[in-house]
Amino acid sequence: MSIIHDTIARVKQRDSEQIEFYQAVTEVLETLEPTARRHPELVKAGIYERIIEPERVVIFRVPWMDDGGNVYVNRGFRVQFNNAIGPFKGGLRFHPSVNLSIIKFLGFEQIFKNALTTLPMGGGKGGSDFDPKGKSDAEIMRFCQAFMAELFRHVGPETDVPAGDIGVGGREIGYLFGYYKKIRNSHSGVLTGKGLEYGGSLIRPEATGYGTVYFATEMLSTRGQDFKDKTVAVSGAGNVAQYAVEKVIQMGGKPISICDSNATIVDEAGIDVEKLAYIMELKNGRRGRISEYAEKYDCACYEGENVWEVIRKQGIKVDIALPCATQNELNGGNAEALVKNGCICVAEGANMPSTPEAVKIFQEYNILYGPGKAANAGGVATSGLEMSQNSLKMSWTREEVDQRLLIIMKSIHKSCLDAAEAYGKKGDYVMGANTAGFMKVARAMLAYGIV
Amino acid sequence: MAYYSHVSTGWESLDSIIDYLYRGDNVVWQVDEIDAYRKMVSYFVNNAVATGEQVIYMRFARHAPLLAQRRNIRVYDLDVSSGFESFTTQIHGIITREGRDIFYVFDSLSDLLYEWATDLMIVNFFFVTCPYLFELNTVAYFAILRNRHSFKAIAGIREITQVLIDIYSYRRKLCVHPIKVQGRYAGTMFFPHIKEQSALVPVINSVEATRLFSHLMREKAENAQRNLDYWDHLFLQARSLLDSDANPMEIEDKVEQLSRLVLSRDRKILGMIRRFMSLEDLLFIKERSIGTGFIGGKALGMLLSRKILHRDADYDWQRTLEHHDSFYIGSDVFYSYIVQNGWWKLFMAHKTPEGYFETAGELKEKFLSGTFPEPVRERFQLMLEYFGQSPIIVRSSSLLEDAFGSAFAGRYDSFFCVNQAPPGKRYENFEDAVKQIFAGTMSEDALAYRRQRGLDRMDEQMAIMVQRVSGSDHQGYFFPELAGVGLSHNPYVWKKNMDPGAGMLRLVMGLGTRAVNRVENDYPRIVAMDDPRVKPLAGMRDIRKYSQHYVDCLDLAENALKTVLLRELVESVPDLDLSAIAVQDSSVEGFGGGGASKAQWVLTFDDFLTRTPFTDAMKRMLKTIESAYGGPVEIEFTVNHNSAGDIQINLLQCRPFQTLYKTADLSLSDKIDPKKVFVRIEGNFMGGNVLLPVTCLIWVDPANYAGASLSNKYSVARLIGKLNRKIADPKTNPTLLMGPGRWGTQTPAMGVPVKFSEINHITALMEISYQAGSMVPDLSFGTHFFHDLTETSVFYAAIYPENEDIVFQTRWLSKLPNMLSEICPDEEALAHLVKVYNLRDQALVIRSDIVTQELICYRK
Repeated sequence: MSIIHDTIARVKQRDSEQIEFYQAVTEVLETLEPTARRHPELVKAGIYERIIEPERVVIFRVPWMDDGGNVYVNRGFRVQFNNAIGPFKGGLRFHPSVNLSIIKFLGFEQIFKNALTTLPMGGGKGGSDFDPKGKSDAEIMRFCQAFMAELFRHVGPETDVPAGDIGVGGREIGYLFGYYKKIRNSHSGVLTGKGLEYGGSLIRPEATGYGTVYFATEMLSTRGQDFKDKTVAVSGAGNVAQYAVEKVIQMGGKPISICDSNATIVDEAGIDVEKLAYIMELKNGRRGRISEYAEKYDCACYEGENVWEVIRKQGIKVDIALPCATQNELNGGNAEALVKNGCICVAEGANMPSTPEAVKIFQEYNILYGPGKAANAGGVATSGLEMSQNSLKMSWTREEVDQRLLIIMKSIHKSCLDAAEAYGKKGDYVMGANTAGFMKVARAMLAYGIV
Repeated sequence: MAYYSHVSTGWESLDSIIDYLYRGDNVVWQVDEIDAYRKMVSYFVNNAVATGEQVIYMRFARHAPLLAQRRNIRVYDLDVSSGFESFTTQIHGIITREGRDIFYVFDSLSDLLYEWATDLMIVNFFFVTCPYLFELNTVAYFAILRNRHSFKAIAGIREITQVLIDIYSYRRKLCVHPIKVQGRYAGTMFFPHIKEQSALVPVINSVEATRLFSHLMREKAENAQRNLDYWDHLFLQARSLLDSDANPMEIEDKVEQLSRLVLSRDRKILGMIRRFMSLEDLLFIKERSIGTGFIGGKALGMLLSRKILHRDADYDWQRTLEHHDSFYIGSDVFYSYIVQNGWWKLFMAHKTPEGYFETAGELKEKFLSGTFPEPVRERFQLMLEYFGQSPIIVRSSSLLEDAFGSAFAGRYDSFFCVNQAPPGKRYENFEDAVKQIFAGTMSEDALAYRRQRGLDRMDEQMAIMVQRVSGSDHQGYFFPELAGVGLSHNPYVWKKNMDPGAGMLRLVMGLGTRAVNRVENDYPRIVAMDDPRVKPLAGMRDIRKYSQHYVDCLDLAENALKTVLLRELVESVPDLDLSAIAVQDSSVEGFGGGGASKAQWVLTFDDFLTRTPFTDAMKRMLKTIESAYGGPVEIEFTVNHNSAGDIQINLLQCRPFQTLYKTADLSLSDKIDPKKVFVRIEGNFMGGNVLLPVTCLIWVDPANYAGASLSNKYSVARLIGKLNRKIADPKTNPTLLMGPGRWGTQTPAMGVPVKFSEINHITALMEISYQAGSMVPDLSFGTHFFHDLTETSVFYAAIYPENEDIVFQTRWLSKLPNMLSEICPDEEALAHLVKVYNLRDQALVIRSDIVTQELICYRK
């Protein structure tokens, strides 16, 4: 038995009730098999056994009173998983489904996501089984204050920096931070995801889309290419897709498609700045359907099919594909069609948009394939930038943040490339993304000794 | 020997005066009493039977029968009380069946007044029946009683019939006076004839004639009122009854009599009318009515519910309730429109199973281009002058709508007349709106719905209500401040301890069309009346997303109904004060690559709901009407402020609680074979009272799903999206979707991570608790599904198989073939995870009852 399988088996035995956590450990560790083979020193230092065990788990009582004077007791969690490369960092989730297994599972994944950004951020996660839905504003505030009344002693700008997640948006972050500030008597950057007025960062919604395009640019440059005059297929119509299109235009490429849940439009003439402004107004302002674009600009519109199906059926030629819609949107058949139609580069703006079969095909045909883990790490990265701004007591301009995002994406790209090469799989970004983050954490842990 | 085409009246002398009856003749006898007609009938029938003719007797009146069934005489007993359409349809059917060359005897047409109370419709009946009889070469006898009908009615009948003969007695002698005998002429034909022995002798002598006619004139003396329809007559009587200190019993009888003609014949509703409405109310309705007949369910519901509130002595409704300003177009106008434009035959063809859909398209076209009778046009004109340039709404008010036990919500349309054009154009717009509503009865949607509900044989009875639009002018945009729909029983209880009996509202800013119609991507505020502040949402982002972004209003400059972005409305109407109903959301990022953020209004209505008397008033309104109706009700309303700053609620409509589908009769559930029960739970469902047939089941296997890889879990979600698009259809293939945990979660380990657009064609959604990790149903629909599901009327239930008091039998499923590989051959790899069962041969039925909180899903 390998150390990997031993470790997985150990989790199953010790935390048998933590199904979600067990699944996450299994999926992550299985991709790390090559690291264990190549780095016996990690095995020897017990890195694999240590990395699956959180540094600290805090479970606490959160009593609060509703508007009618009834008392409720929820359970609060903060799992501080790993701070080898920086303070614990990860979201807070308020949702009735929250339990230890879920929080551990999310915290474990967070370690590698954060490490991959190349910023100094550890991994953690927290939250409560409180359901903010159906609660009044005053109840939300009282709950947030009760939650922070305990959490404050475990977090801090140098210790643990929580952010928002499901059920914890700008409003909740505001209440949490307000209370922290009061009881600590200090205005420090202990939370990210704040509103702009009190320490939030610019270009957060743009970060993922921009970052994906930056990552693709880096991949292309390894083959002496760039976006200039390339035909680019983008899927999705949300923030990620919109800002990916924007950046593609800025880079001189020609985005030709976008899709929502109802239809795909293919604009052979290319989506330009003016058309993009229309899309943004259509989707963000008027909440209309993408088919309206086809009417306005007189281009092809395919009902009930996503971009990749349309490309497969219509045989549309594209150079670069940026799947930015949803998980498993691009399957094996779609991948084959892309390859056949001359696609040279795929960078994922969404999480896991390509099925395992599709990934296999991309690799087989030596397509530049940037998995979401790495290519869409821009969002996580800007959260890190917010942390830096807070600790520097500075507020960067959009351009500065964008500039730093570019540097981060370049560095993510490089670390993936290097990691893959180290395992003799040059150009394999999947291998790179899986191991780069881990190796960074593992090396740090190794350096600290057995702690 | 007469020609074949000649038919004898059975009275030789009469035959010679009028030169026989001809085949094709409709013969109307105007008599003083029915015995005179009986005599003419017996001459005619005896002769006919003797010569081997077939006689049909149409029996429907209250007078003694004219004929009995015997050889060659067939008697049909007909029902008049069900109204013009079904009576005429019955007769039409008989005539069609019996075919050509038959002799007919009808009971006295004057008797129809007892039930129909209007001359107009008797003429309409005559108008559609006679030409058809003529066509079939029959001879038909009719009678009308003298002095009973308006001059106009008699003129109408004379116009249509081939033969009209007056019969009276003069000095105890029978007098026969042909008024019209089409296509025949003989010397003394149109003189009165007096019966001497068995012969008829013409009164030619001028002295005799003068004496005779002056005698007749005396008899007609008090007939000034005969310029009016019998209908108006009835109401005049009612008015004088009221002015004459009649005893209460008499007045109550009058209320009952008139209500049966104008409001409803439903016993339950009549009982409520007796309790809450007075004779004055009925007279007031009459004043505001155009044409005769029923005012329809929508108008009735509005009037009745308002009366119920005014009877509530403990609340000052006088102060809170905005007065309505409505006119009613009676249901007879609809029939007259069809009859007078000559479409009745086509309409009858539409009533046959073969012609039901086929002729509907043609009728719909025709309905848009007909002409209204002149008197109706005059009344339309007067009404429009009354409303002037105020915007009005023209609403269908079918008798089927808003009645107990039938759900016809939104099947027929409403049309706004913004009324900003010159009078001629305004009239044209209004008439168009009325025609549109009439044409709407022939729309495929309404037809399919009626057939599905077994209502396709029932009378349409389409009345119309015309109301002044509640609201005010905001710099060129006309709309009420708020509007919405209220349910006295909340079918979407999303939170523990929430009381379904407290009711709920769907509240919008502007015209209520946004709350009534379900609009994609835009959401009214859902208010639980027992806790108006709480929303089924968490976080400002969701609150913003699931709020109202568009406002419906009337654009006075463009003279049209418009849907305007709230953002744009706020910009173009700077005086608009939203502070009580909206909050400023500063977290919205600017578009187009960032830039300066601009705070936007998000409609939450929070302050309005908690700081004004509105919520209490609505709560009380719903409860008061509910208890009078004896069951849950649904209302439509608008809200404005008067100059004193008080809230004014305008109650626009009220009906018994509408459900997704026809009200379920749950008492039957005890009779269902326990072996056929698939799911039976108490509580844990949302969507109201339903009776839903299901012909397809998409089943995500809980055990296999729990063990699937992360990637496969996402593939399941995408596959569900594909199936949703490919096979699910609420109309043609109602589909039930069942799976473990929470539909729409973002964490695949907790359920299938679909997006709403991937399940939007599903009819019913069920979540199954599965003991692996966190796969527990979320009765509150996740944070995002609640609004989408309520807006698309998807039924929802949560099943906890571990609970002992529920039934959840899945074994029968394993015997069914999985159709997945046939539908999506590429997806066979997921066949162990997703099963598609075709249930066309053994349909499932879902029934629920919100009062008993029982849900049962069983195999038929």
